[in-house]
Amino acid sequence: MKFRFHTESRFKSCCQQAGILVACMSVVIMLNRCTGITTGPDDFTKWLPASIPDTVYLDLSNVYTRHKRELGRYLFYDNRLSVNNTRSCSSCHAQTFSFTDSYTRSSGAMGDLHQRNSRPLINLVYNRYLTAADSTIHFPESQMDGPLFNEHPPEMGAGGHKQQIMDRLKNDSIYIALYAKAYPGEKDPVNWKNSKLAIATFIKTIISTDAPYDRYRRDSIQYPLPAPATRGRQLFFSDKLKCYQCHGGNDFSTPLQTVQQRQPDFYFNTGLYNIDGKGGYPSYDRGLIDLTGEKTDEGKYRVPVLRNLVFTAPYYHDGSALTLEEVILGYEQGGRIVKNGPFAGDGRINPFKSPLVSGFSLTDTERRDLISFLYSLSDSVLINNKNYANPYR
Amino acid sequence: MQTLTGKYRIFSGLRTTWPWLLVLSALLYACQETGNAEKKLPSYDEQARNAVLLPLDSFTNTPLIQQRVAEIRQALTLPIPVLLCNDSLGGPQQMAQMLALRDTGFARHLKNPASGKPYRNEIFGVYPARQSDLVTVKLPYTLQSTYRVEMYNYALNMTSVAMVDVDRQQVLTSYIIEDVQPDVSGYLKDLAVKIAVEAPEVQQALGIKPSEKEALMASTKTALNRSRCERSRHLCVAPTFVKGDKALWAIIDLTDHRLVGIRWTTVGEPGTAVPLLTEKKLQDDKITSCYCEVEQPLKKNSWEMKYMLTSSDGLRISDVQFNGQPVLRSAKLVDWHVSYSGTDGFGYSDAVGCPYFSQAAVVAWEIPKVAELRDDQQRVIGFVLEQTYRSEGWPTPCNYNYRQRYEFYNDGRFRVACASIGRGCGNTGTYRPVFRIAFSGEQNSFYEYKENNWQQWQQEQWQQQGSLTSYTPEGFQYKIGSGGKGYFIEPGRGQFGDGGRGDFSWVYVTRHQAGRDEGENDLVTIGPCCNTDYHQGPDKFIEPGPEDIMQSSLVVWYVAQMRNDDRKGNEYCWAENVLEDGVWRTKAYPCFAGPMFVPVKN
Amino acid sequence: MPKSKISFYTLLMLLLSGTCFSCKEQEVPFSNNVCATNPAFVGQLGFDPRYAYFSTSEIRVMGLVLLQAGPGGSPGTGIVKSHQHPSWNKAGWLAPIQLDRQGNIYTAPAPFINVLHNPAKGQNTIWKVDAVTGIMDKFLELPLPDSLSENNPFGIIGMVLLCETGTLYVSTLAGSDRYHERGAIYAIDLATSKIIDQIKATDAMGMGISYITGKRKLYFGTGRSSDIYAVNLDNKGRFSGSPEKELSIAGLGPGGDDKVRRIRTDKLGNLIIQGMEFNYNLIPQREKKETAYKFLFDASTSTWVRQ
Repeated sequence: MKFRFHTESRFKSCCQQAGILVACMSVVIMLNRCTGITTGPDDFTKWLPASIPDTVYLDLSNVYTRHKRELGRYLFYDNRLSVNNTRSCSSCHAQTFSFTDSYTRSSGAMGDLHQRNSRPLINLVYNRYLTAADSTIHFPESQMDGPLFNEHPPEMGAGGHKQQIMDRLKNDSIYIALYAKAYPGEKDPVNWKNSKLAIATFIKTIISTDAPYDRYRRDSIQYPLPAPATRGRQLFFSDKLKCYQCHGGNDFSTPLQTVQQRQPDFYFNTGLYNIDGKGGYPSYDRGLIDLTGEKTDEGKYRVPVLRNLVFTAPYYHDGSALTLEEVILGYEQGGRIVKNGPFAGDGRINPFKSPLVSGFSLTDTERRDLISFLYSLSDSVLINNKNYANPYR
Repeated sequence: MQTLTGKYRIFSGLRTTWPWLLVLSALLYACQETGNAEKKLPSYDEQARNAVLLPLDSFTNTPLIQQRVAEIRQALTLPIPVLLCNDSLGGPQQMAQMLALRDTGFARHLKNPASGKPYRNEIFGVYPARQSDLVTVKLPYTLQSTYRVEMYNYALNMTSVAMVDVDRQQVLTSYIIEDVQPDVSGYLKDLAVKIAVEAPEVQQALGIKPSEKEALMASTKTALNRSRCERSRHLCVAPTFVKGDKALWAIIDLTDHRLVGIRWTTVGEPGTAVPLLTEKKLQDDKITSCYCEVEQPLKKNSWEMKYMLTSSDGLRISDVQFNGQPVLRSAKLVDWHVSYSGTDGFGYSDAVGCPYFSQAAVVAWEIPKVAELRDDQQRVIGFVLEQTYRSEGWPTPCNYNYRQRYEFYNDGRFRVACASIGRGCGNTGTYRPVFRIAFSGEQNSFYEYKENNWQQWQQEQWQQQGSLTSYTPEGFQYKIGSGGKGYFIEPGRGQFGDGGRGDFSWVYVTRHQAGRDEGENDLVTIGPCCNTDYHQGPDKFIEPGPEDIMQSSLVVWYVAQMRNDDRKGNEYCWAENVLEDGVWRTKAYPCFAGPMFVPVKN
Repeated sequence: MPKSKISFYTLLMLLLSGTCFSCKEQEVPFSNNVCATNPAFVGQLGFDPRYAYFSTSEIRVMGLVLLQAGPGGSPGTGIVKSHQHPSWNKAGWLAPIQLDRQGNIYTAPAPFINVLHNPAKGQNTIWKVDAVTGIMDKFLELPLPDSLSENNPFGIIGMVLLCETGTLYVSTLAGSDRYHERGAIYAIDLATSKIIDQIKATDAMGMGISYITGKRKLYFGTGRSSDIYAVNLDNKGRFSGSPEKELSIAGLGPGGDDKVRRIRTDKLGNLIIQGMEFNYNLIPQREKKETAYKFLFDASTSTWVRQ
C-alpha cells in the first residue's frame, strides 16, 4: 500500500512488518493478515479490513469460530457475569461510547471506583500492549481475569463466586445451546475457561476503521478532509508538534521508534502529575512502576489509541481531562499543571517526564484545527454496527 | 421543613415539622355531585367538573419509571451529565450529538455555576438539518452530513440547539432558546403513552385499559413547541384517546413521570385547531367549576359542613356541625397582610381565592384536599381540609405560597390554621393572616382567662397575645359559648407540632346581626398591608362605638403574626430551590399559625 | 392589570419622524396616538422633556407619577427625579394613560394586588390631569352596569386616542362575570366630554388604531379569548358596522391562551400585539409573562400573517 503524503509514509506497510515475531509466549504467534490463513465462515480475517496494513496479534490457541464469537457477544452483554447481576463487560465498555463508558473512572459491581478510565475495546488485535500499565498483557484472553475476578477493587466481582455464576448460565437454555455450538463435543462446555475465550473472541472482532480520516486515506478524492482537519493533520505530523512520534500506526498508538516492539517504548510519562515535586503520581495508580517497581517507571502509561475520541471523553488514563483542549494544553505546556487539590503539582518538571513532551505553542485556531483532525479519527459506523450490538435488545 | 416540588409532599423524607401529627393524603379526585347546583352549567363546565386532577405529590413507581429514574441518576454522575438520545440513531447522528456536547455554547448549561451540581439535560433529537436551519451559518458545510441536535434542560426549561456537520466534525453554530421545549424524543413519547395507559384514572375514564397504539400524541409538532405544563414549568405532553365524538386528554409530566390529570373534550370538526389543554387550564377550570361555583358538602367522621372557594376570602367552611350540633356558621381567611420592615411601609394585602373572576392576588393552585389526621401511633384522630394558593413564580422572590387548613378531630376539637411558605419580597417580612370565625348560636358570650379567672367581655373589643398573657394550665386563653357549652380557644404558642413558633395574635370579637353584613359575605380587602398595630381591619367593625356582645351571635377575628427568617437552620415562612436529580425542587419552611378550639366539657 | 408608561422622548421621536398633528385619513399614522403633546406643567416643574415620562406602574407609588430617567433617557435606566401632585393618587391605583394634543392626560383606576384603594363604584371613571395646572380631576363617569359582579375587580382597562377626531376610546370590563359579558367600548368626544358611541356586551382590553387595510379601524382584543376584532371608524370617530374577528393569538404564548394587553402599530400600520395571561383576577402583572407578537397585513390576500 502506498501513501500519498510523506507524513503518512512514517506508517509501516503490512509487508514491511510481516515476519516480525514476538516470542514472549510459546503459544503465541503473530499473524500477519497479508499472508492469509483460512477462508470460509470461520475465517477470522474476514473482520480485518484489507485497507489496514498493520500487524495483527492473535493468541492462536484460541481458535476463532463464528459460534464462539456469538457466544462471546451474549456473554459480553450479560449482567449475570457479575456477582450481583448488575454489571456486564458492556457496563464499562458501551458501544455508544466506542466501548468505553464516559465516566471519569469506572465503578464496579459493588460500587468501588476503578483506578482508571475505561479504555476503548477497539482494534485490540492491532495492539501489542493492551492495558494502560501492564506490559505483560498482549491478548484479551489473558487480560480478562482482571475485570472478572479482581478483588482490589472488585469489578465484576466474580472472584469467589465462580461456580454460582456459571450455574446461572447453565440454567439458561439459550446459553446451553450457544455453548454447545461454540464448543462442540465438549461434555461440560459451560465453564469459565470457555467463557473467557468466547468473550475474547468477540472483542477481538471489534474493528473500527471507518472514520473520515480512514475514508480519506482510502480515497482522498472522493473523501477529502475538510480544511480544518487538513490543517490539523499537518500540525499532527509536523516537526513542530511531532505528535506522530508517539501516536503512530493504524490506531495512532504505536510510537514511531518501536521497531522492535519493545515494552519501554510504548510507556511514557507525559507529566500529568508531580505531587511531591519528585515525580509522584496519585497513590492509587502510579503507572508502570506498580508492575516493575522501577522508580523511573512512575507515571508511565501506555500510549493511548487516538481513535474515536469524539465518543471516548473524558481523557487520560484516569479520565482527568474532560476535553481535548485540556489535553492539548498539557502538551503545549510541556506537562500539566494541577493548581489545586490533593494532586496539585507542576507536571512540567516531573523528573520522569519523557523528553518528547517538551512543549510547543499553538494559536487558538491551530488548536481547533488539531482537534478537528483528531475528531476525524472517529468512526460513527462502529457506534451503530449491529455486529457488535447487544443481543438482548 | 418540607420538600416541595412546587408542590406538597406530605411524606417527604426532609419533612421535620410533624413530630407527632401525621397526615395521610386522601384526595378528593373529582367534584362531588351535590345535586343542589342551581345554575345549569354549559358542557364546557361539565367537562371541567369531570376532569380528574392528581395530587401534585403523586408519582408512579412502576419498573419502567424506576428504570428511567435510575438512568437519570446515572447520567447525572457522568463527567458530561447528559442523557443521550434514546431513540435509534444512526452512527452519524450519534456522532453529531457527541460533537454537540463538546461545543461550549451548546453545553453551556450542563451544571449549576454556583454549586457545580448537574442540571438534567437530555438530547431529545438529532435530525437532518434543513437549509433553513443554516441561513446564518458562515462556515462551509455539507447539508447531507449536517444534523440539528436539540437538547432540553429540565431545570432551566431551555433548549440548546447545535448544527453539526459530522463529515467536518464541526459544530457550525449553536444557540440557546429559553422557555422553549424541543419536540420530545420517540422514547419519551413512548414513555408518556405507557404512563397514560397504565394510569388507573385513564383506564377508569375509558372503561378499559387502552392499548398504546390508541394514544394520539397531541403535543407533537414539527417545530419547537410549548410544554403542556406551563404552570409547573415541567415538560408535559398530552396523549389523547378518542372515543366516539369525545377525546380523553391525559397530561403527562415527563419531568416527574406522572399523570397530571385527565379531561374529556369534544372532538372538533376535521381540520379545526386542536384545543389547547394545559396543566393550568385543567387545574383552573376544575377548581372554578367545582369549588368556586358551588358549595361542596363534606361529611366525615362526626363532622358535617359545606365548603367552597371564595373570590377573595380563601376556602370558606359553613354550617359546621359536630355530632349534629351546630358549631360554626362559617370560617374563612379574609386577608394576608404582608409588611416588610425597614422598607417604609412597603408590603401587600393579598387576598386568596378563585383563579377566575376573583379579587385574589394569590389563587388556588390545587383542588381542596381532604386527608386523614393520624397520631404517631398511626391512629386516625381526625381529618384535615386544606387548600393551597400559589403565585406562578414561587419560590422566586416576590412570589407567595399560602396554605389554609382546617383540622377536625374526632373528639370535637377543631383548628383554623394557615401557613405562609414564603418567599415574598424579602427576609424581613411579617405575615398577618386575618381569620374570620363566626360561631353558631345567638346566645354566646366571650371570656378571657385573666388573673386565674374567666372574665367576660362585655363589649366588642380586641386583645393581643403577648408575653404577659395568662393561660389556663391547658393553654387556653379564651372561651366562647353559652350555658356551659362552647369552646376554649387555645392560641398558637408553638405547641401544635407543625413548626409554628407562636401566633402573637390579635383577637377581636364582634357582634353579628342579621341584615348587617360585617364580612358574612365575601369581604374585599379589609386592611392595609403594613400596620403593625391592631389596625388590621376587624377593628373597623368595633370602632368607634363598640356594641354589647353578651349573649349574642359572635364573630371571632384572629390575626396571627409570623416573621419570616432565611437564616440557615432557622428558616421560617421561607422557601428555596435546591437541585435534586438535576431539576429544581423546592425546600419549604412553612410557618403555621392558628388557634385550636377545644370543646368545653361539663 | 396593565399599567402604562409613556415617554416624552418616545413621543418626541415619533413627532420628529414626520407625523403631523392634523393627519388626514389617507395619511398613515405611525402610532395609535401620535398627537400626544408634552403637558406644560412638566417643563414648569423643571423636568427635562427628553427623559421625563408618566407612569402608573410604580409598585411603591400609587396613582400617577412623573419621573425623569437618567442619561440615556429610557425608562429603566434609573430615576433621577420624580413628582406626584397630591391629586394624582386620589383615585387609587391607575392603569391606562393617554395624552391629547393639548397635553391633557387621561387615565383611569385599576386595582393593583387588591381593591383596598379601588372601590368598585369608581372603576368606570375617567380622570383627567389638566395640561396647565397638573391637577387631576374626574373627567367622565361611564355608566356602571346595574349589577356589578363582586368577583370581577375590573372596570376601565384600555384607552386609545384617535387624533384626527379627538375621540378617546375607552374599554371597560365593569359588571362582567364568568357567564355574562357586560363590558363595553365607549367612544368619547374629548371636546364635548360626551359619549358619542358605544359597543356593548364586549369585554375589550387592549386597543389600537390602524389604517393598513385601507380603512380606519379600531382593533381590540377581549378578556374572553385570544381573538382580535376590528371595527370600522367613521369620519367622526363613531363605530361603523359590527366588530369582526380579524386575527388571533390563540395557541401562542406561554399558556396558549394569552389575552391582548396592548396593541400598537408600526409605521405601516402592522399590528404589534402584547399578550399576557388574564383571568379577571388580581394576580400581579409581574408574575405574568408578556409576549409580543407582530402581525403583518398581506394586502394581496387581505390576511394577517404573523411575523
